[in-house]
Amino acid sequence: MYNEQRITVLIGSTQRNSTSEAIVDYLQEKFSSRDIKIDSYKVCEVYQSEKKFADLVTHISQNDLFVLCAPVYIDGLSYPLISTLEQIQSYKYKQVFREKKLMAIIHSGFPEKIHREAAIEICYNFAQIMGFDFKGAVDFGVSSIIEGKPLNELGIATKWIRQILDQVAEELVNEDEVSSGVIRKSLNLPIPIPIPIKWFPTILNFGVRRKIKDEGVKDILARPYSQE
Amino acid sequence: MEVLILNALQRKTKDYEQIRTVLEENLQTEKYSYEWINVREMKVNTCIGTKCLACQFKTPGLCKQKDDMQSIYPKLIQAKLLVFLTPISFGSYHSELKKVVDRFVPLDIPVYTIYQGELHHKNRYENMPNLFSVGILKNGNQESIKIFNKLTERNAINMLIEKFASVVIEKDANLVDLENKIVDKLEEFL
Repeated sequence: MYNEQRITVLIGSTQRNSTSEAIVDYLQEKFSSRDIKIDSYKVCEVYQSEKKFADLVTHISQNDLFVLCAPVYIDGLSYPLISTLEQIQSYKYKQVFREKKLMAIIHSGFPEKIHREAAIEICYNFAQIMGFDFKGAVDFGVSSIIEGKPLNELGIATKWIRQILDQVAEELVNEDEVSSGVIRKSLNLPIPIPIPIKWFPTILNFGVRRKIKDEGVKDILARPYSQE
Repeated sequence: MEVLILNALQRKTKDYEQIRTVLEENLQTEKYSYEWINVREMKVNTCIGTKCLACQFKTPGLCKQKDDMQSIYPKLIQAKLLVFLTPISFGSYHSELKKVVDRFVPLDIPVYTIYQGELHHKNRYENMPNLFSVGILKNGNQESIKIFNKLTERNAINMLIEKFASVVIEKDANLVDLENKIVDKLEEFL
């Protein structure tokens, strides 16, 4: 369906060279052999630029599919992304998004799906309110291992993420495999290896301790805003 | 100061005026000290996120951004109750409030723990305030109400807060409805 067409992607990170951007770059690579081009926008550049925002809206209205690729930020979507979605809402009554489709790719550092649920539901609700045909959400945790690096360079550590994105790319190409209206595409692949969640603090805190040592942090427990 | 109110509602609107009256009357009756912050009037920069994390590993607990958040942090950790007042955007807090909430990262330490069976960061400060969020919604969208309540709950769990509540009020609600909803919940905290 999207062959020889273009997809608009809004990268929801607050920073450049982000993990979300690396995910979108990987998808673009996958699409290049299918004659699908991505018009990507970084929300950190769009939300305070009238020109970039106008470009974004033009592309959303021209392209069939709008993809939100965003990290979870304090349980929801980041401030610049919410701000941009609010601005997009002002175009609702101009009918420029009629018959457009929307999907979301939501990722978080925390492995469990519960950390991503509110963010996914906000994307779904945005689609419903704006009249987009919601094609679903794909989500995964432990995305902090990407750290904005190209996914292909990360080898086996991110193979499971690449597999998820390969599936996403395939589904986007074969549009007839997904349907609208409900959150039903969530893959729920939160943890790449079957480690009980109760073991995570021990494993992760080992890395934190090493980083504290490497960075020469003196008082990690400091309470600078306390008046105790 | 026992109650910190972070308000993202537009001033000089019916909702703002009514909610302010109801909250202040109740807090004054109960002799609670409070501070009202209109976040739209604060200069708050965007959190830079994982590319920064200075507040975790460079200057633990201190955000390196010099803006009005520096005056909010001490109030936040001293308060017994934190109140969010916000229009609801697709179920989320409005961006003007979200901008402030995104800057709560220095309140964590980068050490992991299990809380309510989930992986979380530990709190930097021992006693986090209870959380009460009040959302204003234009069209009664049930999905927005559900998400707003969930987001408040998730924020509370994320900040390891034990006591929290949320209410959603229809835009331009009448004073009696508004008062009933807010006072009922507020009494649970005061």
